[in-house]
Amino acid sequence: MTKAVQLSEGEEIIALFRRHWFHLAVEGLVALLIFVLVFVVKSVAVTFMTQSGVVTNQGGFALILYALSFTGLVLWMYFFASWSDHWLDAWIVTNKRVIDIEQHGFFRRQVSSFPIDRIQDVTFKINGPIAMWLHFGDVRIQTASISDDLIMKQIPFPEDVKETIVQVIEAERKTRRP
Amino acid sequence: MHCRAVGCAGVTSVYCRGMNALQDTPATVGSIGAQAVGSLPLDLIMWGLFGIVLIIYAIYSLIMLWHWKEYSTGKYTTVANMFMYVGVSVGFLAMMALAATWYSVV
Repeated sequence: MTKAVQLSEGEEIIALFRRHWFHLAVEGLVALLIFVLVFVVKSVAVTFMTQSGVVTNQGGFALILYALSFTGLVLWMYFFASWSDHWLDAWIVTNKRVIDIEQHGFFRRQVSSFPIDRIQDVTFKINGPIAMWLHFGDVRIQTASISDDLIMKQIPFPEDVKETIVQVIEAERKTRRP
Repeated sequence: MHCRAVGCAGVTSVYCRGMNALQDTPATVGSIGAQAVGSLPLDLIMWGLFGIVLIIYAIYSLIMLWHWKEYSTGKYTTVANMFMYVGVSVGFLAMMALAATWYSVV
């Protein structure tokens, strides 16, 4: 964590949020479906080659095993790229700011800070039956700066996240009052 | 596995190393395609592809694991979690090598 963000003096982490697991599960399911599809296609192709006498039965099994291992490895690597993207992204709420860490692929990383005292409004939105059922949605933080709003996409329990941020803002305002 | 095809008057004979006899099959588009595949040095292609995949995998994994080490936010991207990724990947690589060896032998 200390490497991911540098906290200033007197700054404390209040909460850390990540995206909901639903997106990662969809990626895993897609990888699994591709694996099954390759298995079926390859089995049909090798059966045909075996019947044509191009390869022996054992050679056919070796080809299927090879193709499946190759596909499995590629999909495993693809899934772990998604895994990295999922777990290296985070939103950190401190007593001074909200930090947005976004990892895009391996060579693009964006870390943005939104000072608590500049936040004007916090809203949340839950879209669709799956999001409603699994309790995830988007939280939008509007700031008094000209930069874009911070949108926490597909965050679990957005209403609780909004409440946490509002409490931090109120606590910060109290400390500023004489 | 090396195959040799001899065609004459609509009948194609395909002989593959590891088979005991010539097999006569009708010359269809499918069987011609199968012959083309059979005439390729598949064992060499398998080992070549294995080498390329091994190099790509090693570079990819080093970059990914470096990212985990540098930017981990504390959950499921720690050094301890590398073992699951590396363990399964090595399993797939071992199966590829085993399949290529098996194909070369039979």
